[in-house]
Amino acid sequence: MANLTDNWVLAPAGRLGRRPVGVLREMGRMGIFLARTLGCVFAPPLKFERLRKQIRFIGFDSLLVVSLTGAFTGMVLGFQGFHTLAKLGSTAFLGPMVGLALIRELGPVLAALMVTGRAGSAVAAEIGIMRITEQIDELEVLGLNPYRYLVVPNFLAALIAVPLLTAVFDVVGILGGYLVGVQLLGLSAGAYFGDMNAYVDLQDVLGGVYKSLCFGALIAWVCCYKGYHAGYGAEGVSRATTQAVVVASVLILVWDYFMTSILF
Amino acid sequence: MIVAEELYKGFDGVPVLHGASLAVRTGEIVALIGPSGDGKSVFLKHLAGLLRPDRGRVLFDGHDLARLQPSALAELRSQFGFLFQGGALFDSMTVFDNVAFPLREKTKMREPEIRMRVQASLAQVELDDVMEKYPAQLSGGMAKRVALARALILSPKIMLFDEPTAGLDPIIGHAILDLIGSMQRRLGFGGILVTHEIPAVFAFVQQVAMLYRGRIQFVGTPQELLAAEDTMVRAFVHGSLPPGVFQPVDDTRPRDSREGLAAGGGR
Repeated sequence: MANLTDNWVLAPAGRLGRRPVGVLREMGRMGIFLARTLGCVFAPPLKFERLRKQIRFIGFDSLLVVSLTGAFTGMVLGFQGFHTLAKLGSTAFLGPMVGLALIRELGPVLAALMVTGRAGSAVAAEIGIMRITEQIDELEVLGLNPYRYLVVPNFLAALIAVPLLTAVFDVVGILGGYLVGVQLLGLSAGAYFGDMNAYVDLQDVLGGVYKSLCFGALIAWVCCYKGYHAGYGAEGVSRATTQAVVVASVLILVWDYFMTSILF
Repeated sequence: MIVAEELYKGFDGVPVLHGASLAVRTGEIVALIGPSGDGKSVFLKHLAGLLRPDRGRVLFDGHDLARLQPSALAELRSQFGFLFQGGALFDSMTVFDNVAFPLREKTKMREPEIRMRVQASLAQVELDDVMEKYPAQLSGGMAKRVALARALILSPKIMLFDEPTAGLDPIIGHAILDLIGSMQRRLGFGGILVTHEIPAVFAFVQQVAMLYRGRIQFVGTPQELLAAEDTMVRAFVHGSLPPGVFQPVDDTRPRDSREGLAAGGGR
């Protein structure tokens, strides 16, 4: 590459190729990171105390923000859905519309995005600080595997917490839609819930669960990776945290498209 | 015995180590001196297996660290202690938990026994009254002493000290060095002490090595160092180097170098 960039004819091609090569290298590193993480997941012992702490941090501590997001998403859906359906003369379908939109799509995606912003960023920052203050090196010197201590508990905690938070998001969102559609705009409660029951089937619920499982793994993978490979000083941690949130959020949306096209 | 043979290491094409070789005998302390930025910390991390050399090898009791299986490397590292420049205390744990951590993870000791060992260890560094504090609540000198207590709790055969007095005032710095000296006499460990504290460390080191431009420029006893004829060694020891003679090498590490030998290995 050095010779290439020294040559004024080939230098532009060298510069052009450097970016994709860098992206490919980063993808390879991320793949290796995931493989090592999965290797530790399936090879005991697990650090249960750390896992419990991370389930609380990623799951329980995100409950309020996820519930609020779910409630207002459901309420907005109630409003928009009611007025849209009113134009078609079919407001009775508000229940299925809110239910399907939340369970299939908005619940998994928005809950995952909220967890990324609240917990994923904190995980990336925590691991990044441990990296720059040589705490990860200390684990290695002690002959302990940093993946087992830092990455695996976050990975498993996100796998457990994100589907549960998605379920909370869905339920609160449906109640938010009920509040607006039934209590505020006068739709009958029977129509709202009855039609929802008729049109939302197990396949829709399972689709949402699969998505949220994938998103949980994705959040932990990206955020732990970015923190683990943080650069130097406060700037390095700050950059790692930002990249973790941006990359995880974009990947959630991209992966959601592919999963939707496969599952539904 | 730990031996570094012809270590070469570069980051982003910038050479840091350029054929550095050094042997440390069991029970012997070697002071590693040299200009800042010439790769002393990088050299030390190679000896602990935290970095993999581009060329050359590190042998511990005849085992090449780079060729060991992760589990074997983890086992071997139980004989190492490392005092990092910043202490590297786990900031989410109290002082007590920090010192107890290696015992909980690497031994089958019961909690009452661990408590006794930790209390005794902290008493040795005169910090048995801060056990419930967190690292952020400690001064720099206290954090270094806690880190020293943690590094020594498993009675390592080899100790690696990365500038233990960096960032401390001279009084606290000398107190830390005295403490290291007294612990070494008591526990008998060998190892390497990266330092700029000349001649304060001469009281307890058997050898002094000077790393200059990625190579070990000099190895000898403290007396031999003081009598050395080499211009660079004399200039560095007496602190009278003309400006511009040293050209420190940039030892910034790329991110991939952090995938140390044990990444993915260990327990």
